[in-house]
Amino acid sequence: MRTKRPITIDARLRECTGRSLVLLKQRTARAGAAFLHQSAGLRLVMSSDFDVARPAIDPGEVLFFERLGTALFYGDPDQRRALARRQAEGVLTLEPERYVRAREVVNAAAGAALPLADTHSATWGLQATRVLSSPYRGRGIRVAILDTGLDLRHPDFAGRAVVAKSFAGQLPADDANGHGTFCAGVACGPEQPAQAPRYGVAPHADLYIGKVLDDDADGTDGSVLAGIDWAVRNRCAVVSMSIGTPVAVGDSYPKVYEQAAARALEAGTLLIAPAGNSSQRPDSIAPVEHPANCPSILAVAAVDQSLTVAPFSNGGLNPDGGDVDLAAPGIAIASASPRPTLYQVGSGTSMAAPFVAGIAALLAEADRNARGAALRAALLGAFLPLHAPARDVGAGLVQAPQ
Amino acid sequence: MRINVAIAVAEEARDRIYEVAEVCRALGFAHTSTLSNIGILIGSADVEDLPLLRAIPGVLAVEMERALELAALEGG
Repeated sequence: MRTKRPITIDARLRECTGRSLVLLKQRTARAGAAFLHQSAGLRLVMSSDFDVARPAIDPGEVLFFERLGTALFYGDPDQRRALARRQAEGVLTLEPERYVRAREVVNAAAGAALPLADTHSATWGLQATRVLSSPYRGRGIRVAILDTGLDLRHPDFAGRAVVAKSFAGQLPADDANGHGTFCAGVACGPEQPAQAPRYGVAPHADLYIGKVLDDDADGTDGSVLAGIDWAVRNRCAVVSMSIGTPVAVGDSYPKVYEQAAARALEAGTLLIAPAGNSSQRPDSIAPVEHPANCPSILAVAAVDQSLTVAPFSNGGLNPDGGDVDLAAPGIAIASASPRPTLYQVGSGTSMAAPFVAGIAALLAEADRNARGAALRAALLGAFLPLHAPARDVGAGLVQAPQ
Repeated sequence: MRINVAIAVAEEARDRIYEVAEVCRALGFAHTSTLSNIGILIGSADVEDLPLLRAIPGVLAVEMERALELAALEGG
């Protein structure tokens, strides 16, 4: 039996002038949802009453996902005030620090005409994630990209402070594959690339390039773990690692990686990995891959220009951390490519993970206390709800701080 | 058969990671690197020795190294 304690709604809830959303933790969600219904006059809607194609939740509704043990709440200011009054009476039993998040519902991407498209000034992914209107650029934040390296002489990274180290045998950290340069580009590409459009999220972040895969993109856990250790030692706030290995339904996460990720988190380093590309929707959905299936690693799914989950994107099928945490753009993504090509377009959850990494750098710049678990919470507290199951997109589409 | 392994050192033994590594080595672990920031030892071991390594006080887990792939479909 859990001790009852008063709801402590995130301070942002009271500051918020627009609509808000609240996530409730599994064990108390049913009671919490019922309370929202009774005290704030919100209408309770059960997710089993409709299919996933249901349109957006209406203001004044609490949507309760029985199987996920989570509830979403959209209320107007009066309803929020009613909730705030009851808060003082201590009638709700929630885990507020982690599970109660209140953010203005962001409508920029939702309000834009879909499907989104690259423009002269920015890729569709930067538009969808509201990077362009963010005042943050990742300044002073160290972001590690554990991948195939970086084309260190790419014109878009000229003059940029880059710390590079290879964990792939005797190879230098230079990228002859292209995947690492692409991912570094999405996370940290420049504000004004040599050739339009802008494609990078955090142009002022300090880049730490760990080459953990060789130029054929082969690598092992040993080199990846060495890369994580290096990133932690260098106090990188964010690690983007667009790598994975398929797992079976029912598989648990690897203990070694989970320990590495948990210790990294404790040290202030957040690991971000792709959910994987083994699904063939709608026919089959594969589970979130290793190492994204670790509870302490943030797993990222991919969506297309209509903000629909990508057909290849894996889903949260396994328990104990095997769920999807967030979604990000992952189809027809333009980014950097090693010389002489300079630019390329790619698709995959590999492309989605560095969007989240870049936005994590913006959040870390916006709040100097947002490191480790707090940075993870900040990411999971700023998203655009999508009309798709949490199994496929987690909380929703990642959004840059404004 | 010899395989590459990663050994996670338990939280309570993290400040003794080098001692744990020494015991592992005495039991056949060919130790190549120590990731002290995350408490992990990297190296290789004979498959038959894995139960022994797992039984060492201070060892949380011993796992075989896997090959990793990229999560890109095209381009990248």
